[in-house]
Amino acid sequence: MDRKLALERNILMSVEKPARYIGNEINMVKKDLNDIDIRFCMCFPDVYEIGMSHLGIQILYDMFNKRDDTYCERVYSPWKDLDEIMRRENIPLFALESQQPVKDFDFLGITLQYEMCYTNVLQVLDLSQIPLFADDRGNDDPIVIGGGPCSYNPEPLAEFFDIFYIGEGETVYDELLDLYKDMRNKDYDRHEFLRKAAMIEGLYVPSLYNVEYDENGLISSFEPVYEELPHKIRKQVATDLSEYYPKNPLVPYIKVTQDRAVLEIMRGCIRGCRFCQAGMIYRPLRERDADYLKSLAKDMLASTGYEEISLSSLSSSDCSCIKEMVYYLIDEFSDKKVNISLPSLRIDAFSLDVMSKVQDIRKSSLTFAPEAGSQRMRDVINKGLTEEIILDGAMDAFKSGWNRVKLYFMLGLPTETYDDIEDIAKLAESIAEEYYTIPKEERNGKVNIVVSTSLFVPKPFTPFQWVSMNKAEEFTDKKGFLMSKIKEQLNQKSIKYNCHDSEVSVLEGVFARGDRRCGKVLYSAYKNGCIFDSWSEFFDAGKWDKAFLENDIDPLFYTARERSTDEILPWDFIDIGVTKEFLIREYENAKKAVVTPNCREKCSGCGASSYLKGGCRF
Amino acid sequence: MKARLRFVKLGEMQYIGHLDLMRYFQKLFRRSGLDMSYSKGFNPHQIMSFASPLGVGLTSIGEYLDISLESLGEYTVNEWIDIINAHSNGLVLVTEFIIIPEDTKPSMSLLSAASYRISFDDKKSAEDVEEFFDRSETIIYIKETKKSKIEIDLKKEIPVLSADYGVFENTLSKICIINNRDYEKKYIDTENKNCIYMLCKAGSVLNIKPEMLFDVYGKTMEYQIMRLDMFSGENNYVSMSVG
Repeated sequence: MDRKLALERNILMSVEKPARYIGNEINMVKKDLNDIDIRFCMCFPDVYEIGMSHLGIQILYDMFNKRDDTYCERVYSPWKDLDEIMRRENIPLFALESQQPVKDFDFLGITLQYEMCYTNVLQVLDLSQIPLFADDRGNDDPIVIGGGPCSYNPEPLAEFFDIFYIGEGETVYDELLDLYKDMRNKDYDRHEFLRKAAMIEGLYVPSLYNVEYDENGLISSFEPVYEELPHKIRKQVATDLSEYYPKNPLVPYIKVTQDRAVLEIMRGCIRGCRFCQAGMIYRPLRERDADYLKSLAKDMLASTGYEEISLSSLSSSDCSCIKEMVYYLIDEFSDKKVNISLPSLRIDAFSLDVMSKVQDIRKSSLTFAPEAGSQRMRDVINKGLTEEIILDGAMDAFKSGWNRVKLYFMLGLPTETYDDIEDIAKLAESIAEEYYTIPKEERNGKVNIVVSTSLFVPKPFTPFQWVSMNKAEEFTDKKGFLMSKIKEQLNQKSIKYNCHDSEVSVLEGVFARGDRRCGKVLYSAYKNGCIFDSWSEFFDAGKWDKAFLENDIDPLFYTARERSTDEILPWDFIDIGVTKEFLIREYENAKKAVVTPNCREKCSGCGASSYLKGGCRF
Repeated sequence: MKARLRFVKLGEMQYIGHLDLMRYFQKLFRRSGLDMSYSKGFNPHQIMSFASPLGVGLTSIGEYLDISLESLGEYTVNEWIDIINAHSNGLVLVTEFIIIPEDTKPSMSLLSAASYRISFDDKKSAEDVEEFFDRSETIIYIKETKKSKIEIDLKKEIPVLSADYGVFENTLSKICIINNRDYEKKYIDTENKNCIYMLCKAGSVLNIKPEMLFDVYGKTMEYQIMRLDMFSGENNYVSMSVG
């Protein structure tokens, strides 16, 4: 029972939230290291409260620890206060379970959920005292693996990782661990291991591929260094979603971002919004069986004691069992005082009925994500939402007692004009006016509308992967313009406007579609002191500007440059099932503002059905 | 029905603050299946109150928590202790579970004193603090609030202080009705000479913390504080676990 903590008491007492570093949470897996062949450390390179909210790690943690020969532990980015102490006192970064140094593990798996965590990847390697560059690592250093959505363009991180796992973790990790165990028992050679690992489907070993560029800086060739290696890396897809799911997820002591049990009801999305990377890379759509989900919900609530359960997916309203699941949860658990949270639910009669049962209407707000203000723009991005649907939904909600509405939009979408932007303000105004058509005595005070805009960042494997991204100045102009248009509206006092930072979005744009040469910029920025870039209090645009200058790299080459569809893109070596032909077709449809029906209405032949025997089923 | 629980909070749980501990208990009771009473309204929460929040960095073998229950179901209170502890982490453990009359005042409002053990790195520090306490006529601690400064004479507010556990227990037993379940002997090494023990007056108006004494003493020292028990009553203190 008496674990020795890695940090001395005086250190723990001097940092904010010491509970971030002690582990021993409820449902933490404990194993005797003497019985273990493989030590795997899972990392989310951000602060504990963010990392602990991530479902993927919980699934993999459970999956790895089902193996008797493997002990999977966790590590997160130490917050700035501890980061400074660890550097000063040369304390190696440690895993929460055993409190032992990460550098002594066999594997370090880092999930890459957003580009702005990249400097934290270097922080974790650095604090772990693992060489930052894969080339500098020896037989005794852990194998560093990257995974998650950003590994669909791993190139900016290529030099820092030994392997990228492309796709869903449930499929080939066993094969990799078996190979490792087998080779570790003999004369282990890191390079030999990586060469063999690269033969496993879905695993990309960047050091075994060479990239060449032409005189314009475009990729001219991308080739494996050994003949036997695959030219294309096939995305991994779990076809059976009832194999792994944590019945007893970890329960943190401190309040984390996602402080509830999370039930993933399906993977993939039928919608095909053209800006959305998740909508493409998680294809094909796979739903979990309702009976399986019900038993999971029961087990998870019993093992955690959580007072809230969230149904998670990219678009829950499209899940065929959503009504059955929601009413089951309400019937089964509401007398046990379990809250039900339903993110990503479309506003309609069903969702309003459910929400009025599970939430306090006076305190909650409704969320719409039209993503664009004008119908033309929504057609370009294939967001099948009309003004009529939005206004009707809002009206139904107002009549049921809601008076707060959140609206999410994007600025900088392809083909966007200032008229499209002005329509955002007009849409918000129409919703406000809709509210005031309700007789005064039936209204619940004033209406409260929050308009939020994020800035569009083109992502790999979307129909917009070739488009030009707006520059920071353009974004700033557009934000100012939208603000001024909101101020012109009759009900402007009821409309609040929030927006994202332009510089962070532009940087995200560089790394989203960057190539191997961007790794140098990342390294320089980290050396200049960049860390926790997704936290506005730490983001320092000046240091990043310096890093680009030092490496003579122009960020606009990666963001503002429109690519031709026959250019070799840095991520072209990955096969996600969805074909390039489909993406080009969708790109053309976007330019013509032609809407593509969703997967349930009509199959558009994207290619992802190749993963499923007998194709997609709806 | 109402119940009073005594619990211990050991080891690394010292890094878990009061609000997080409250959330920990809420989940613990849910995992255990204890039929807790909930407040009304859209955000129902379990009805519970602690006798006194324990600061981060302190451990304890004498914490009290009042809860409201719908029923005990098919188990006795002693069986519930085992069930709850089986669902806990080995470092927060319920040691007593007593059903109390509905009209019992909350332990928070009854609290009048708390006993502590402070352990140092060496024997000398413990003896020095004891010597400082014994030789001082008055020990003035200045408590600063936003509005005012209050002078507190710790000599009056700390009725008992000793570096010897035997002496401490003996003195305490003269002015207190102490718990006879030997928590100290179970959880701590009472032979350890690097410690001092003290009884501090406590309550909502004036709450004396052991750190105040070290503040006045002035020397920087490394120490670890453990709360031993909490008491109610004036002049004649009664352990909350008795009665």
